[in-house]
Amino acid sequence: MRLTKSEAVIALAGLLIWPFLILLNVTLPDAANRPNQPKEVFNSIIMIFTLILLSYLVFGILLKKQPKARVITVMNAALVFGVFFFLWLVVVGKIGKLNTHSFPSPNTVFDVFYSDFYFLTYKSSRDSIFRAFAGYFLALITGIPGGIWFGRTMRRFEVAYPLAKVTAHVPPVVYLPYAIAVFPSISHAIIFMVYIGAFWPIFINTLFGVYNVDRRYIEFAKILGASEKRILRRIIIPSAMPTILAGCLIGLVLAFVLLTAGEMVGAHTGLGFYLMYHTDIGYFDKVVAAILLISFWVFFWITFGFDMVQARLLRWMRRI
Amino acid sequence: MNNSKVILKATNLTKVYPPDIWALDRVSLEIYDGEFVSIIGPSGCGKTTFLRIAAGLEDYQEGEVLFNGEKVFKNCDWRRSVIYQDIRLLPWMTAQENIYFGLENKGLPKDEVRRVGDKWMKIIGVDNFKDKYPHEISEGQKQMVGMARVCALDPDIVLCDEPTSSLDWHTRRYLQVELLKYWYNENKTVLFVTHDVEEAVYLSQRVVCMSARPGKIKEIIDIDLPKERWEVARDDLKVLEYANKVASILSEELKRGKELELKEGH
Amino acid sequence: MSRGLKYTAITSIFLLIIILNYLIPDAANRPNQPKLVFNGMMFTFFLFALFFLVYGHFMKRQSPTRVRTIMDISLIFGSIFFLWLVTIGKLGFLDPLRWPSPNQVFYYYLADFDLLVVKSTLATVKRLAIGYFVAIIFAIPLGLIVGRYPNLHDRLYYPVAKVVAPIPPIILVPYAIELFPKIDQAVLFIIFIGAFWPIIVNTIYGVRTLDVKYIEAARTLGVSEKRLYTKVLFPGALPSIYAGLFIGLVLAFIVLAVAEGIGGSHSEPGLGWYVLYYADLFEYDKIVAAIFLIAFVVVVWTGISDRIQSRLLKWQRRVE
Repeated sequence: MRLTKSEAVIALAGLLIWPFLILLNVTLPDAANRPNQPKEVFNSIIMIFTLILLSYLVFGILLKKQPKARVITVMNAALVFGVFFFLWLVVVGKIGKLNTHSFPSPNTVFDVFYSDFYFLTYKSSRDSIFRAFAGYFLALITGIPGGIWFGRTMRRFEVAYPLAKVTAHVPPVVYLPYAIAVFPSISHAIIFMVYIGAFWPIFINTLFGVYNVDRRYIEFAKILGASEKRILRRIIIPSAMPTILAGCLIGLVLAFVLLTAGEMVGAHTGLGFYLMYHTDIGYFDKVVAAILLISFWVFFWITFGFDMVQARLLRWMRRI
Repeated sequence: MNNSKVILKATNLTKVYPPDIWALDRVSLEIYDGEFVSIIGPSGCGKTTFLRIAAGLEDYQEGEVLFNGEKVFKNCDWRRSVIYQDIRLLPWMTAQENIYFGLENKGLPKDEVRRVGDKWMKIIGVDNFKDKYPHEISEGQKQMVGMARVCALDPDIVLCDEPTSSLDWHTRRYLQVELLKYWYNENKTVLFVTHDVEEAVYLSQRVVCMSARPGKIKEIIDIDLPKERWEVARDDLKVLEYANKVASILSEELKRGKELELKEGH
Repeated sequence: MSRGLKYTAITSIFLLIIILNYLIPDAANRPNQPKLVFNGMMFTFFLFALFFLVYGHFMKRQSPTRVRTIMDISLIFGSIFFLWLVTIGKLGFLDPLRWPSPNQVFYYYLADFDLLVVKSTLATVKRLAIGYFVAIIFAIPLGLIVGRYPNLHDRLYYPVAKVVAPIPPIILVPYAIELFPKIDQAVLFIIFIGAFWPIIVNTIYGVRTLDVKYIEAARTLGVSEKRLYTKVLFPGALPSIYAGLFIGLVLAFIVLAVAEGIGGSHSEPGLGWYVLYYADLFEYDKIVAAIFLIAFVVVVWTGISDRIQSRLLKWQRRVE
């Protein structure tokens, strides 16, 4: 695999900026207003990340297991975020700009992942991810069949679409008090909210995708004597699939939005609660740690969960 | 004719598409002011590429293209406007807005835009459907708009990229005559790319025959027919003679072109 | 049953509801309900349906599919209100604290007119409108520019957007409240972030998927760079931009509700605050009233934006 000069520069810079961060962290003295920062956790996490990037580069470029464009995109992203961490570390941690209360240094923030491992990294993550997926899964198994049923005829579509559009805009957060009153536990209420949030985009996109399937294909299949079930499986679902998947992605994003919203407003466990609780008592290192962790999980599930399932599904569709 | 000035001049023009497709190989061609020139050849001979380079839509590796003495390299200009095969009306504008669009680009004042635009809508016959959107009118009507918006611009050279090949028989003849009259009345220069031998011979004063892979000029034939071409019958003996001549030059090329097409699976 | 008869029956449901409301005595556990506002509302619905029945159906001045859709929707709403009134208001099912009768709920539009209908609604609509429009003003031009330059997109925008765009904007609420001196500014900032990403993502998608042949055509017609943006790229990307505006509004509204819930007070009201505040006081009738009011705001808002949309997109081929 041949890299152009600029691609090689990006790949190298994207990799080397991370060990450079560790080097800076160890050699430069801490800012006067933030003395004796615990550096171990930040350094170790960056180290692990560097190793992952390195093995990805070796795997992708030298062993040619990945398309070049993807490797460059990944390294490019690594570079952009490396620059972000560099600025954070140097400006806040080493030079000591900005106030220490609301702008913690990366060293103190990353230390929270370790010092608060049980509550934040393990328990809050576990509760939140369970709620997100329970609600999202329910939305998938009701939204897609529902959308197909309502999208199949013009009459049903004409009724469902305006209603869905209005209801979709009502922020599900306002149902939370009700959900808490009706469901046996707060966790159930939050799952319900995640469900509502993820349901509408999935339902509306399925509705649209199914309704807009080219009628000529359906007529053609009918002329050839295909049964309703076969038309559904062989024509409608495959041609609506890209739209449905787009809806599923928006649904996943909204699921996380509603999850954090619900937890921040109502829950006693989970990442959103952790975030809100430490906001109220003014521990901003923990707030930032929670923000980073939530961002990480959202990114993780979208990139390594959703994108891969999507690629698989679309490939499978093309084979049919 | 040769005493009028050269308006478009290509010297040793070479264009290679990756990995190794020689669309144009050292093509030199001079087009004089007020001329009607056709380029004809099998598909893949680079005739459309030549036109796109002249329009400024495409780059090239070697050689040079000069328009009125200025270099053309990926710079578009309304003075070298194009009538496209796939028409390319902007779908979010009505027929009338499509015609006004180019005039507004020129920076004309509003009433001037309206005056010139309406004049050409009347001449080409777009008036009846000027408030329709492109998806509401037929292919032939669309190309009438496509032609009117270029004519209204008053370009120095009109570049035609097989503009009639997607049209029905009737509209095709109508637009051919409209183009001829436009060229004659307004003293325009036209570069016309086509794969239709009869069309090339009937319309132009010179026919450039090209060969494919690498794209080269094989022969240039002067057509000695009166300038008021629409008065010539299409089955005039002289027209047919020229058509036969061009066809015999191209027959070998066409065969090769077909083979290439089959091999590369267009 | 003929269509006219059926539509007449549907229309008269609303009258029937009003009559029943007067004739049947209130449930023992919900005595002396104030009936005026609910009946007035039902009468408005009745007039609305009557208009479509007489003007649309009998005088044939509206398309039959439109009348049919309106009637289908009227039937759904009529049945819901009918069942709600009879089972809860008149028969007294379910506990009266959490399940108020419609009479009780709608009464608050009169009783709490100033705080609920005027102050909270106006504040919410104002915040939403400002935050949303500022997001539009930034996101669309930026999206057009980024979409036009592949290098800018691949090297800078994409790596950042891939990670940052799906992060739930709500988790920035604590930070925004900390950093901005006024709650209102913090709320606007959060709405801006919430609406910004979906709009810019879809704008860029619209520009990048716009067929290059239109750009070429415009260039051979001598278009200037400025007019290329306003007359070609923007209208060409508009269908996709509208998809982004839809998701952006949903997200902005969710975020707004949470931010109001966290930061609002009696002196800084809002519909999101109203719901969450009365949830703490267990006044569920007020919550339901606020939810209906939110739905009403959404109906008006989306109705206006649909009008604009169909005018701007009338060049598109209608889906048959």
